[in-house]
Formats: sequence, structure tokens, C-alpha cells
Amino acid sequence: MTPHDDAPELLRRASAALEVDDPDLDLDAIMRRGYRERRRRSTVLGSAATAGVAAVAAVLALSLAGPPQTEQDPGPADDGDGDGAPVDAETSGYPYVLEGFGTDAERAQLNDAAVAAFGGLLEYAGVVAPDVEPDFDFQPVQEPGNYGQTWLRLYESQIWPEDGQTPDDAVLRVEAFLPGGWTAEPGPVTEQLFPRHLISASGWPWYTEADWTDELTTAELDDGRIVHSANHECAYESAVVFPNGAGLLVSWDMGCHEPSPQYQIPEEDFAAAVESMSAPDFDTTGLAPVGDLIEVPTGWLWDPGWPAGAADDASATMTAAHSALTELYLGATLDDGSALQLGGLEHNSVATRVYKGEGEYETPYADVSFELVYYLPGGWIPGIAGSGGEGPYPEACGEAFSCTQETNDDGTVWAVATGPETELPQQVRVVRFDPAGWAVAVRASSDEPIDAEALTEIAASMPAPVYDAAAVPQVPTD
Amino acid sequence: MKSKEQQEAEFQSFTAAHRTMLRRQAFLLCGDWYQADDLVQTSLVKLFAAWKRIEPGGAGAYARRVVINVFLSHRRLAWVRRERLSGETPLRSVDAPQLSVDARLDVIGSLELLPPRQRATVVLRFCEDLSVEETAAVLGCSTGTVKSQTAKGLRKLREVLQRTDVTVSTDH
Repeated sequence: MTPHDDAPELLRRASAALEVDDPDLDLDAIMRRGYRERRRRSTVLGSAATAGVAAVAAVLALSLAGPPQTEQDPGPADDGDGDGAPVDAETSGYPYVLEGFGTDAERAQLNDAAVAAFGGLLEYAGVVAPDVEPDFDFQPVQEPGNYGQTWLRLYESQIWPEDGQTPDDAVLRVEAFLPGGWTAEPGPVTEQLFPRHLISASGWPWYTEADWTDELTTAELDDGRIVHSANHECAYESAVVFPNGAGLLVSWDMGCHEPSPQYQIPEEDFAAAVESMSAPDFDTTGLAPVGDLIEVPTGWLWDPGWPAGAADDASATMTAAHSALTELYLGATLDDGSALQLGGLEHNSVATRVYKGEGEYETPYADVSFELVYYLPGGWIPGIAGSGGEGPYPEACGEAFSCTQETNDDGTVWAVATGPETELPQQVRVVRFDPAGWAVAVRASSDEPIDAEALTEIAASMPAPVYDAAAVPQVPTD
Repeated sequence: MKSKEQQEAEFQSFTAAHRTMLRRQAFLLCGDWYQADDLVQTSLVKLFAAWKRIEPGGAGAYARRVVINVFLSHRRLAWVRRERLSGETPLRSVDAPQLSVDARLDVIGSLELLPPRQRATVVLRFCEDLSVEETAAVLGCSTGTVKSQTAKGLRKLREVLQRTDVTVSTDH
């Protein structure tokens, strides 16, 4: 019999015949590392649950700026334990900054480096006209790490051909990552993971079912740079990790969405261009260790097809909610609502799935307009974030709002955010986090004072949303 | 809730009973003894970190799954290290009268030519003798994916082995 006739049997015999010595294991060290891993994964939420405290009345007094702000980072970051040790960048990140980050000087430096590295290639491929200098126009982007517990910082640029109109038409995409929140190790590129991976073997977004594992190669250059490259046949992709901790992700799409390649270039020319781009020198002020990671249920990846597919469930939910509402306020209105995704609009972005409707009810004193928002499970934990959206919570405390939170005996968490009474219209939000994993928020505004108790009553009367509770988010494996 | 001492004692006992099995599985996945030791060590750290959450009696299956996950998530680094250490890889010790040593090395070595998920699928199906359903559960994928990965993996193995001199005696 030949092996090609019965490869499974051959494998069985060969593996059964394999003699294996006991591995030399240091169990004490393994358990020490295991305990460290446990501490790393220990959760604020878990602690509260384990304590089994009934009627926890944790009141958050979130100020205007949310959680306490730290002073500007004084010089080189250390890991916070006072020993001056450098920050472990992979498990560190930045605070979210409402006004954005970065300087014109940083952007100019990146633009010059990108023009020098890729200008010739863009001209050669016909993406830009001869003697026209491409404008990379790098934009600062903040992306959530561990569902908003911390933030990654990067600059992003895309170069389209003259007739390019949609994101798919972009030929060259350059992302320059500041140190923090990502790992040099290739793996699934998804916001669901922290630290994040820069490059994967999957071929996303050009392919959905590809296994490019064999095509992903790694090289260490003489100057210490590590370069991971993947040839996706109609596109090239490279991630460069610089010795200074910065990262670069570059892709060149030759026309994956076209019948034939339009902007074809040799792979070695792409590699040479990528390797010629100099190391960005970033200001990492604010980079700080994340500390104990808050455990957050896996979030959903943005799915352009989901809103349409969930429209009927959203409508059914709002119909049931309207029925409950009219029990409290005869004549109250609530529209059919819609299914929305809150978050980034890219294939690897995490998005919170919500049903949102708008309505109005009448009190003896005023007409109150409100939004009804159902948060479906995935990618958040009960609670209310600071005004900048800090933390893995679905609702944020508004600027100048006062926010409180408490937990009932049955595990229902209530959060109330009240806007300043001096501002009209007054705004009040009440969020009910159901122990089943979903939440419903009533966000009301009126020119007359709003009774938060009335909103609480509405939220308490709302039925569970209609959704497929058996469907759970998956983390890509490639 | 189990005390720290209880957990450590249970874990030590589990490790003593399963260390060889895990090393074997890891070697079949990565094809390198040094890498296999790394995989086992990393997997045991993760296993112990989760020990208090693991159902009694389920630790074996859980450990197998952790080894697979660690292998899949670290395959890139594993590739780099294997490239560097290939000259130092210790000889594999095999002993099966019905197969020549070279043939067995060819068979095991041919696994390295498969992409990681195909290799993991083939190892679980034929070296660990798991059913399609059990393999799907370990890999966290559908049974359809297991079947297609198995078919692709076997096709590639047959192509490789066809080019070698491996023959199998049916005498036992």
C-alpha cells in the first residue's frame, strides 16, 4: 500500500510510534506566571460580582471631564511603579483626547517620508500624474483598546487614483502607529483584541475565506526593524516595527475589486519602498500602562449588512415598547426605530448594536421628547463613561452632567445622567442595564424640568428587545 | 471555592499526568521539540490562569484546546524561531517496526508543509483520533470547516508523500 492511498492510517501509525520524553517544566514558574495572568485579567466587574453584595449603591460622581485626569506625562514614561522601568508599550495606551492629538510638524514629517518612499512608485504605476507630488494628508486617528478602556493613536493616509471614488478604490494606504496598545506579532487584525495586531494572514479586506498563512513572511533587518509582509496576489501588505517602538502598516491594492490589476507593481519594488520609509519620531506623551484589564464581553465587528437584517427586530422591539409606554402615558408616540451600529465603520472595527427610536409623551407640565435606545449584548459592560466616552460603557456622561449609578438586588444596574438645570432644553438620561445582558436608555429633553423618576419608570416598563440571543460575536482566527 | 493550595495541587497532579501527551500534541503541530516545549509551557500558564473556572474532568480537553490556540496564535513567531533553530533540532526518536525511520520522519515532517489550521485539523483528526464533531469543538469552527480543512490537508499530504519513497507494510 502506498501512503497516498491511506495518508490517515500512515499518520496514525507514525504519530503513535513517536517516542516522547517528558518535557522539562518548571511548574513553580508556570504557576507564578499563571497567577500574573489572572491578576491581569482580574476585573472590576468580576470583583463586584464575586463579592455578592446585595444592593450595591455605588455612586459615581463623574465630573465634567469624567475620570480623574492625570497630569501631563513627565518625560519618559515608566510603568507607574516608581522604579523607572520603561512602559510595556503593548499593554499601554493613551487617554482619549476630545480635541485630537498630534502636531503639524509630525504630520509634515510623515508626509515627507511617505512622498520620498512612495512618490516614485505612485507615478510609475500611474496612480498620480508625472511630476505631481502626492498629498498624503495624514490624519490623526484614535482607536479604542479593550473596548475603550484605553486608546491607540495612529496617523492614516490613503492615495486614490484621479478617478477613485469609494474606499475600495484606494491604491495605497499608509498607517503610522504610535507606540502603545499593539503588538508586533501578526494575528487577527480586530479591535476585539488587546493589544491589537497590525497585520494578519487572512487577506482581509481583499478576501473573506483566504488562508494566506504561507504567504506571510517575517524578516529582521540589520538596523533592528522587523518587517512582516503578505502577498495577497492582487495586493501587497507590509507591517514594519521600528526599534523606537513605532509601527507602519502599508498596503498596495493593484485592483482587487477590478477584473484585472490596474496598478500593478513588482512586489520587490513595494518592499523596497516600504523599507525606505524612515522611522516616524512621535510624541508619546500620555502613554501609560493600562493596568488590570477590565473584562468585556466580546464585541461585534462592524457588519454593513446587519442594520438591514435587524430592521424587523428593531421595529418589533419598538412596537412592543410603544405598547408598554402607552400604558403609562396615553397618547405617547414612538416611531418604528431602526437598527444602528455605533463605532468605527471598518471591517475590523468593533460596533455596538443598538435599536433606536424617537418619541414624545405629555405630562401635565410639558411635552417631553425622548430617544429610546436598546443596547444589544456585546462589547460593553454596564456603567456610564466619562464625558469623553472613556471606558467600555455604552453611555457617556455628558459634559457638565452629574451622573450616578446603582445596582439593585436583582442585578439590574441603573445609571442616571442629569444635565445642568440652567441649560435649556434640560436633558436627562436613564439607563437600565438588564441582568440578561441588554440595556435600554431613555434620553429625554424638554424646556421644562424633567422628572428622572418618570424616566426610570418608563425604562423599567420597557420589554426585552427582540434579537437572536444565541448569536454571539466571533473573533477572527486569522 | 477551592483554596490556592488545592488549585496548585490539582494542577500539579494534572500536569504530571498529561505533560507527555501535551508535548506530543505540540510537537505534531509545530514539528520542533523546542517549539513544542514553548507551546506546552505557554499553554500551561494559560491553563493555570483559568484553572478555577475549568469544569472538573474537563481539564484535558481544555488543555488540548489551549495548545491549539497558542499554536495558531503564535505560529508566526514559531516560524521565525524554527528557521533559526533548525540546525539544532534534536533527532526525533521513533520506533515502529512497520515503518522505516525515514518514512516516519517523512510522514511527521510532511505535516509542516500544511498551513497551521489544516495541520491542526489533521493532527486532531488522525493523530489524536478525534471525531469531526470533537475536532470542530476544539477548533471552535463548524463541522463543515473541519471536513474541508481535512480534505485539503490530506490532498496536500498525499501529494507530498507521493514524491517520497514511503511505503507501509501491512504486517503487524
